[in-house]
Amino acid sequence: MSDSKRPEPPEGPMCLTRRSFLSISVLAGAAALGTPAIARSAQGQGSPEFKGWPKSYGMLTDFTACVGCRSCEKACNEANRMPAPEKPFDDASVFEESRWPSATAYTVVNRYKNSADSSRPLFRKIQCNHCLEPACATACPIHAYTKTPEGAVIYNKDLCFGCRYCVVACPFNIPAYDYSSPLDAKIVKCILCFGRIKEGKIPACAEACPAGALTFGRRADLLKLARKRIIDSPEKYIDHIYGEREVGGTSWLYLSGVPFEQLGFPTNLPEKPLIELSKGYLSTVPVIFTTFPAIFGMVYAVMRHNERAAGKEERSKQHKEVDHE
Amino acid sequence: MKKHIEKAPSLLACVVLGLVAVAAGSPSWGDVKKIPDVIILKDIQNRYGPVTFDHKKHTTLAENCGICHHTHAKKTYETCGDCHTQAAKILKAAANGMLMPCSGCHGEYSPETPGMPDLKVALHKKCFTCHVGMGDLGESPMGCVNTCHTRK
Repeated sequence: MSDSKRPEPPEGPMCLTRRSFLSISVLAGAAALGTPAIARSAQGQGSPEFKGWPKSYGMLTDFTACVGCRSCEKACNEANRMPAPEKPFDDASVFEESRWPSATAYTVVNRYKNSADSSRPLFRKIQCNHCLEPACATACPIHAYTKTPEGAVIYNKDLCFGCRYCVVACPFNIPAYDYSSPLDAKIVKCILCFGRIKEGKIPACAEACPAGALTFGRRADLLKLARKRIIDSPEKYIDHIYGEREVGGTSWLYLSGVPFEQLGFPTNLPEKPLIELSKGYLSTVPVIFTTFPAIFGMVYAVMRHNERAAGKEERSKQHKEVDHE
Repeated sequence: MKKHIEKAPSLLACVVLGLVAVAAGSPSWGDVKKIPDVIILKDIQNRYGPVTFDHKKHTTLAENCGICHHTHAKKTYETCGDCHTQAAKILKAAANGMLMPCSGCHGEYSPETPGMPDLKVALHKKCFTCHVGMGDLGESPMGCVNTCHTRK
């Protein structure tokens, strides 16, 4: 539970923080180790222009609608068969501190002060954003993560060996650690109720939300819906769909009535997937490994050939001199 | 916000006609004549006890019926069929003054039509229009039971 109070990602302009440095290093390291990053940067598509799987699902969270009932947390807990929390789900005292998703709660709702209307607090639901080009999947050296065509970023617990590269690589600070077994610690996070989606159901949190704050659907449709809401009620929303472009786009999208930094969102993220930061120079690695031996081999062969030719000439000269004698 | 209200579902019609439909075993909207003063909502019985909605009280509190009920004053849809997908007979009945049940459009949620909330969301959104901010609804999860619901 120690990671349930992890600090939120730093705010402010883009700068090379310790965390971002580590993220890039991890991506770079993973890419260098057998270059899984390059091979999988587009989820098997091999294209740097991957824009997400067509018809993939996503979720739209509308913070202007959320009333902080925590029904989503309860539904998540029940759907994932997790133990009951210390405090019941209708206990508002949990809002007194900032919580973060953990091994025992894949999603949490935090309460924030509302700068626009002090009489009504704001709520933010936090969970995995299911990036279109997930840094966790890129960083994982053992391919435990998969970005499914349905949109969910899932992982194979049995493959995970606990390196925690994904923890460092995630720009949203999401993968949590299950410390229940000290020798067999595992990564855990929201998987967009992938099993339920495959059964034709919708994620448990969206099914439970009574306020219409969570809408599950095709990501392309959700973007249209979000834009329509902004156009229909420009006084209600800020003109930004969070997740549309951040780190190459995420399957989870957000609408808000206040700037996202006020809800603790990292707003200093690049629009390109994080793998783009290291792909440029890492793409030269295989080139170097294939062309350099060939070039040096050819140079060596030419030199050897010249040496032999020179040696032959020398020998034939000597032979001629001997013949003359 | 007003636009949204006008597009919102007809809470009363939904419940009234829904109850009649259930009672009759088939959708026969023409039988509905009288609006009940109190409506019992039992949509999420698995979690909470039934909710007693005092319609009569709300008719005096609300500025006008359009605050809660759908109207067609601002037509923003392309075709009638965008909402009215029922048989022509039922649509005709609705056009002649009968209200369509909420469940006519707001049935089970489908991810293929994310713009159409299910019945639970449609009803809650309507209630929240006014009730968020009253008591602790919108501040605490206890607002649900302190305002409308009863624990089972």
